[in-house]
Amino acid sequence: MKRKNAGHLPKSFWILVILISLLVVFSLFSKHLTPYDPYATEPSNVLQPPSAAHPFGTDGHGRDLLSRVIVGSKTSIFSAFALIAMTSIFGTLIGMIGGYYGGWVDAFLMRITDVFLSFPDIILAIAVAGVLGGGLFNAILALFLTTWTQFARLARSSTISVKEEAYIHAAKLSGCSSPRIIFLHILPNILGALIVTATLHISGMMMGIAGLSFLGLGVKVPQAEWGSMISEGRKYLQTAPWVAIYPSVVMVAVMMLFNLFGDQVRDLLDPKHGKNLLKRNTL
Amino acid sequence: MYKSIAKRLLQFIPVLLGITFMTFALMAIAPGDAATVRLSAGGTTPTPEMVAALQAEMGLDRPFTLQYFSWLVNFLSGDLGNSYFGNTPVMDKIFQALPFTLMMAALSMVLTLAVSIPLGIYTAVRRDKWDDFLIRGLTFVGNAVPNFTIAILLIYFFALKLRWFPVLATRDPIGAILPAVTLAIVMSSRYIRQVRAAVLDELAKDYVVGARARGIKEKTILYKHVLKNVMVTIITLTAISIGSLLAGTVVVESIFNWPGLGSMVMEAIGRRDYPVIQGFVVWVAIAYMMVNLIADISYTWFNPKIRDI
Repeated sequence: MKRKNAGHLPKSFWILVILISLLVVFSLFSKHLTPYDPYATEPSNVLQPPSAAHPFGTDGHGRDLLSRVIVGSKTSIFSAFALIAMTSIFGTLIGMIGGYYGGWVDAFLMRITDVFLSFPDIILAIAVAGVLGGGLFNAILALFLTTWTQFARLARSSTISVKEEAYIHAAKLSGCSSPRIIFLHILPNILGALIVTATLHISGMMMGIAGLSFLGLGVKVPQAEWGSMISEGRKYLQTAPWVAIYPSVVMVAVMMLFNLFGDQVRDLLDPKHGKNLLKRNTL
Repeated sequence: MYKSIAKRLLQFIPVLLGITFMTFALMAIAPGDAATVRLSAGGTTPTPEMVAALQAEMGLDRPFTLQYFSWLVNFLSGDLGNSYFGNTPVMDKIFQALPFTLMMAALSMVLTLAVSIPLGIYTAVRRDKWDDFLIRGLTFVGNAVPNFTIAILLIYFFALKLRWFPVLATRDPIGAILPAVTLAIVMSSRYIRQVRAAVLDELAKDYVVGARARGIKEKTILYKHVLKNVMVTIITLTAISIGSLLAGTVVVESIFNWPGLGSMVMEAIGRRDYPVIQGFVVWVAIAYMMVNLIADISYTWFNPKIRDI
């Protein structure tokens, strides 16, 4: 993989990087940036339409929606990041081990991934989260258990395609240990495709978490999270549509940002772009 | 051909074993004990003696692997156990809900294909013109909107504002329209882009250049030659998206109160009705694998060069 010089990266890429960094920093400090307390209920202020005091209006408990959307950003964005980090690292590790060692280790690991891949992941996630009984941790666990196999498959096939290269044989001859070859010689060469897949999956993971929360299998009330806020807004759709619509708009905008970023990264790193069959949208 | 189908069917066995074992293990580590759940379903607070008696009756005191094997034997004879609530066989519950889910899934699939094949071809032909950009822009937005948001927007505009549809329609065929449209919007956003890319790929091939050189009409090339070759992509897409379609039905059915498998499993999750959850997972696994097998078989029909699945 040829890496492009940082100076030659397109301007649109840097714009997206800056926007996403701002968003991440903003969500990191979101607790201190809300105009109101996102959890303070006020019975006299229930279901207020958007106004100068409450730009997004208030919800069924009189809580300021803007504050809740801001605080919710941290849960939504960081749980997606955590999920992507967990699945890609674990999946890559398993895939590289299977691909490098081959034989029965590979056969065993791949039969496990077969089971997961021959099954719609989000259905299993719903069942797992449902049985474990909801909560953000269980929702992340459920999505982790059902999505790491995609990375394992990708890492395995990439590992197999590079492991017969001359430089790997040279490394072996000069006495490198297997872990050293895997991490220092194979990993850097398959990283491109993995990063592409990981960035393209960020919004899918966000959608997965929001979807589980929407079904009541993710974060527990009253914790602010976009999916569960939209779910709460369903009740007031007739009289106060803003309760559901503002969190939706913000969430869609953020996911579009991550999708744009994923497409950019793919165009930069993936030589045969546009043919990424691994991209499976969740929920 | 028949040999390879048989081979594929044999491959189902380890996968099914894996999935059933996993769901079974999941139920075993789940918080709360099945006997207590079942007793509480009756509305009484169970005493420890009652729980112990029922545990013995349900075989919950036996080792885990034994429980799994007896479940497996029952499953092979078509028995997925009984629901904890009302003791109805899980099979019956599934067959009751299945027609509703199939109807909605089929409707959304038809809608999706009816929208995305023509639009995919159109945007490919009109490449880089304003309407291509507009449609691609819309699909880009559509890709970032979760199905539940689309469902809520549709309810807001078409059920609450325009009053064309009942808000929570159950059982009436008219009630299937909004949920099916929701899923179709989600899927079309992906399909249009893929069909467009496949058509563009095909149009750049030598046989198209040759056909043009022979003076064959552009329409004939498009509909007789290109479309047939694009079908393979469309079938792959359909097979892959069956998974997300089934997942989508869970979300959408529970929003619209449509009495299909999705509502069934959400209700079961809500009251910890483990046999029903398990039956649902097994059913989805079988359906998903069958659809993929059928898709693989159909490739040979559209592209005779693929002889072996």
